[in-house]
Amino acid sequence: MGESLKRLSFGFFLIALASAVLLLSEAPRQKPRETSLATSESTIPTRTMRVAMFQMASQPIIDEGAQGVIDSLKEAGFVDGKNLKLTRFNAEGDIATGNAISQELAAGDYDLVITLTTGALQSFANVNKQRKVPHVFGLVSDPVKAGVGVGTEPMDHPAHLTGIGTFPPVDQALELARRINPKLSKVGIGWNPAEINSEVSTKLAREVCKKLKIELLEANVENTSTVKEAVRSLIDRQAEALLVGGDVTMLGAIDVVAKTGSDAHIPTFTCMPGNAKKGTLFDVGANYYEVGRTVGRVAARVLKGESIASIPVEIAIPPKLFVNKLALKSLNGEWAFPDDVVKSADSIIDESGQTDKVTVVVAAPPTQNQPLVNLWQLRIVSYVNSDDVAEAERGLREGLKKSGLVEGRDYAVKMLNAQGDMATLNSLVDAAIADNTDLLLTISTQALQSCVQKAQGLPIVFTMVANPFAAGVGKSESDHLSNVTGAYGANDVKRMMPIIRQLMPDAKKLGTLFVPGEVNSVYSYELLVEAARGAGYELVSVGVNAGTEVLDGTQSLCDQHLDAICLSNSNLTGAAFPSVAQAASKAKLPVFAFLGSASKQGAAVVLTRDYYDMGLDSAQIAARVMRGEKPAAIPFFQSTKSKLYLNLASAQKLGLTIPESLIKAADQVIDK
Amino acid sequence: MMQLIGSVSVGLILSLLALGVLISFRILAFRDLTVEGSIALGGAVAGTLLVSGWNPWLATFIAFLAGACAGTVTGILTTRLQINGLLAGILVMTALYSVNLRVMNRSNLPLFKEQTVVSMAQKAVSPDLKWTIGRWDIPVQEVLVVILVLAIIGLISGIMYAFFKTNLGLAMRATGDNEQMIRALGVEVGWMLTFGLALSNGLVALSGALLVQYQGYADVQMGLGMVVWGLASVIIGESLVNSRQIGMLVVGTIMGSILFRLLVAIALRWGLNPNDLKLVTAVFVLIALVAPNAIDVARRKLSTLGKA
Repeated sequence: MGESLKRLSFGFFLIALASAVLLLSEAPRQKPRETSLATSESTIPTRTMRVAMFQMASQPIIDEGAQGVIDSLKEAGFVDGKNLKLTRFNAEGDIATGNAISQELAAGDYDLVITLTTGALQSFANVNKQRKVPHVFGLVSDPVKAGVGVGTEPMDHPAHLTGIGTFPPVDQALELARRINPKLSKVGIGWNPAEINSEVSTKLAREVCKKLKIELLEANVENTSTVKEAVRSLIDRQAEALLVGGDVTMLGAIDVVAKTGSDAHIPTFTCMPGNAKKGTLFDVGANYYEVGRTVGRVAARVLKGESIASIPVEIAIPPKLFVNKLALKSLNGEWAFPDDVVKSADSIIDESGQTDKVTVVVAAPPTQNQPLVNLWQLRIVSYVNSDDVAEAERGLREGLKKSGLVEGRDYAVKMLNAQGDMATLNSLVDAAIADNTDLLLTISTQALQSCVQKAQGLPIVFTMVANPFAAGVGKSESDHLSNVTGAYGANDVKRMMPIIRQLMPDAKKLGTLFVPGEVNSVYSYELLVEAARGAGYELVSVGVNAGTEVLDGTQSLCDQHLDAICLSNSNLTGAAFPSVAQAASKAKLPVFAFLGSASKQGAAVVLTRDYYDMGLDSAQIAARVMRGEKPAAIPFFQSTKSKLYLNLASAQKLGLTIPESLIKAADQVIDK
Repeated sequence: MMQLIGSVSVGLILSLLALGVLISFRILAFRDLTVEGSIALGGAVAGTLLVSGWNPWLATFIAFLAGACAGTVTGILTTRLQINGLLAGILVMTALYSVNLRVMNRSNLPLFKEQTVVSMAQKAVSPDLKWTIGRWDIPVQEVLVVILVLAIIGLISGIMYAFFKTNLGLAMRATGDNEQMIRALGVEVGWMLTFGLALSNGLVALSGALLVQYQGYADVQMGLGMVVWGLASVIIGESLVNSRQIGMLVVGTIMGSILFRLLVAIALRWGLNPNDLKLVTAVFVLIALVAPNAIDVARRKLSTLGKA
C-alpha cells in the first residue's frame, strides 16, 4: 500500500503543480463594469442590499423579464456584487419546490423579494402573510384575481406588497384587426376555462368586441388535442378571423390554429409576441423585457427607502408588434396593413417569407465613434479553418472598425481556431473565458454551441451559422437565449431557380450532392429541395460522407440524365469541388453552386452567401452589445446579401449563353 | 478557476475513454479504432434518449450498452470472420458514422434544455453560489459536477479493478499477454477478446454520453481524433506510475487524462496558438515516453558515480 502511494505521489504532485500553474497564471479578477447611468447616488444605501428574485419556471418571456429587472436595477445604481446581493430562485415549474423556496425566502434575511409570474406571487405572498418581507411582483396578468389582497384601486394593496400587472393587450389586438380589415364583423376565440389568465383576456375580448360592434364567437378547449376541433367549429360558424388571447393551451398549438385558419382563408392574430413566425397575421404583445424594467424601477424605489404602501399597483403593457405579410396572401375579405402599422412593427415577415429587420443596421446609434468606458476583450472562436472562415473573420474585424470602435482603445481581439477538434474547441472556450473575455464572437455552429454551454451569461455574437434555431439557441429571431445573438443566413436557393430557368429554359431535372453528417449541409439541402420543388424541378440527390466519395457521387449523379447540377453547400463538397467540376464537365453538365471558390474551379454560375458581409452584420451587432444593449433585446439578424459569380468560359464550353443583363448584375465575371 | 475546473471535468470524463483504450490497447494488445465511432455512438444514443425525455441515468447506461454492442461487432468481425483487427475496427468505426446519423436523425443534437446527469448535479445549488478563496471564485455548481464525475469514475475503476482480479479478468489479461498459453489452458480466446472489446467500447460510449451531457450537445463528428487522446492518456499514465500492476495502471490512466487536459489548458493560457496544439500534444506524449528511461539512466549513472 505504502509502495503504491509512493508511486502515485509523483502523479498527484504533477497534477497539483499543473493546477497551481494554471491558477497562478489566471488574470486577476476585473472590477465590475462601471455603469454610466448611476443616478442619484445619494439615496443609494451604503450597505449591501440583499434581494431575492423568484420565478416559477424558465420560459423565454420570464427570463426576458428577469433580465429587464436586473438591468433597470443596475441603471438605478444597484449593481449585483457591489451594493446589491441578488440571489435568484427558480422552481422550474415544480409547485412543491416553489413552496419550499417561498419558505426559505420568508425565513431568510432579505431586504426585498421580487417575484415574477402569478404562481410565484401567490406562493410567496401566502407564506409571507406573517413575516411581511417587502415584496414586489411582476409578470402577473391580473393581480386582483391572484387573490393576494390586491384590490381594484391602485392604492388598495397590503402595505408590504406592490408590483406591476401586465395582461395580454386583447383590446389593442382587436382594434388593430379592425384597422387592418374595417369590414371585420365576426371574430372567433378559443380558450381554456381552466386558465385564470385566459379567462381574464376572454372577458376583456367580450367587452372590447361589444364596443367595436364585433360579434365574438367562443369555443372552449380542454387541452391541445381539442384545439383543432374548436377552431373548426369557429370557422363553421363563419368567423372571419381567429383571436388567441393569453391562453397557454391555444398558444401551445398555435401552428395548428394558424394552419387551420389559413386553410379556410381566414387570419389568426394573437396577444403574445413571437407567433408571426408560426403563421399568424400579427401579434400585439407585451414587451416583457420592458415590463421587467418597470418592475426593476419599482424595486429600486423600495430599496432606496420609499414605503411600499405609497407605491401604487400599476398596469404596464409596453407593446411589441410582429407583422406577417406572407399570411396576408390568400385571405378572404379585405385585409391590408396600413403603412403606419408596418412602420411601427418590431419585426416584419415580408411576402416571400423573409424576415425584415427594421432595427438592425439602419440608423447607426448616436453614440457612434464615442469611446467605450472600458476596454472590451473579444475572442473569435472558430471550429475549423477554411477560406469562408477567413472571410467571416475579416468581416468581423472590419465591421468592428466600421462601427466606430477603435482596436486598442475600445477592444482587443484574438482569434482562436480549434482546427476541427472538438476536445480542443472546449478547451479553447474555457481558456477564452478564464482570460476575462467580455464578449465571444463565434464562427460556425459548433463553435457557437460550445460557447453557449460554457459562457454562463457571457454575451455571445455568432456568425456563419445557417440555422441558429436548429442549433438550439433560439426559437425565433426575437425569442432566443438571453446572452446570445448574431447574424445567420443560408444559401439563397430561391434566387438561383430563376437564373437556371433563364439560362436553361428546357431543363427539368437537377442533381445535387449533400453530406448527411453536416448539420448545415442537411439544412441547405432541405432548402434546395423545397426551392426546386417550388420551381417545378425534379431534384436527384446523392449523399456523400468522405472526400473520396465525392467523385463517385458526382459520376453516379451524371448517369441519371440530369440537365444540370445545382450543388447545395457543405464543407465537404466545398473542399472537394474540383472532383465535382471534373465529373460534370466530362458529362457536359453545367454546375450551379453556392460557394465562392467554386467559380474559379469551373462552376458556370455561383450565388454565394457573402460571409464577409455576414461578419460585418455580426460585428454591427457586437458593437451594439458593447455600447450597452442587451443581447436578449437584439433579434437574430438574417443576412440576405449574396454575390453572383459567373464563369463565362465554363458556360461557353457547354453552349450556355449568359444574357447581358445577368453579366451586368454579376459581382465577378471570369472570362477565360 | 473555471478553466481549471473545466479541464479537470473534461479530463475525468475522457479518462473513461482512456480506460477503454487501456483495456483494448494494453490489456488485450488489440489496436482498436472502433473508439472513434463508439464515443460518438454513446453521445448520440444518450442525447437522443434525453431529448425524448428518458431518465438521464438510464440514458447513460443504455449508451454504455450501445457501445458494448459496437465492441462486440468488432470482436466478432476479427475473431469469427478472421478480419485483421485494425481493419475490423475501421469497418465498425465507419459504419457507426451512419448509425449515429440514424440514431440522432440529424448530425447535431442540442441538449441545452434537457435534464441531464450534469444538470441534475448542478441544480442542487444556485448558479450564483460561489466560494471565494483568495483571488479565486469557485462556482459551487461546477465543483458538484466534478464530484459527480469523480464518483462515477471511482465506481467504474473500482469495478474494473475487482473484475480484473476475478478468474475471468485474469484470463482476459493473460489473453493479451500470451495467447498461446491461455489457449492451452482451455480458455476460448476469441470469446475473451470479444468480451474485452465490448467492455472497452462500452466505457468509451459511456465517456461519450457524459461528454455530451457536459458540453450540451451531441455531434456526429465528435469522435474525431479521440483515439489519440486516449492513447496519450494511457501512455502518460504508464510513465507516471511506472508499474504494470492493474490497479496502478487504472489510476495512472485517470491521472494521465487529467494531467493531459491540464497541460493543454496551460498551453492555451500561456497564449499558445491553437494551430500548434497538435504538435505540442505529440511533444507531451514523446516526453512521457522518453522521460522515465532518461531518469532511470541518469539515476544509474549517479549511483555508479557514488560507488566509485
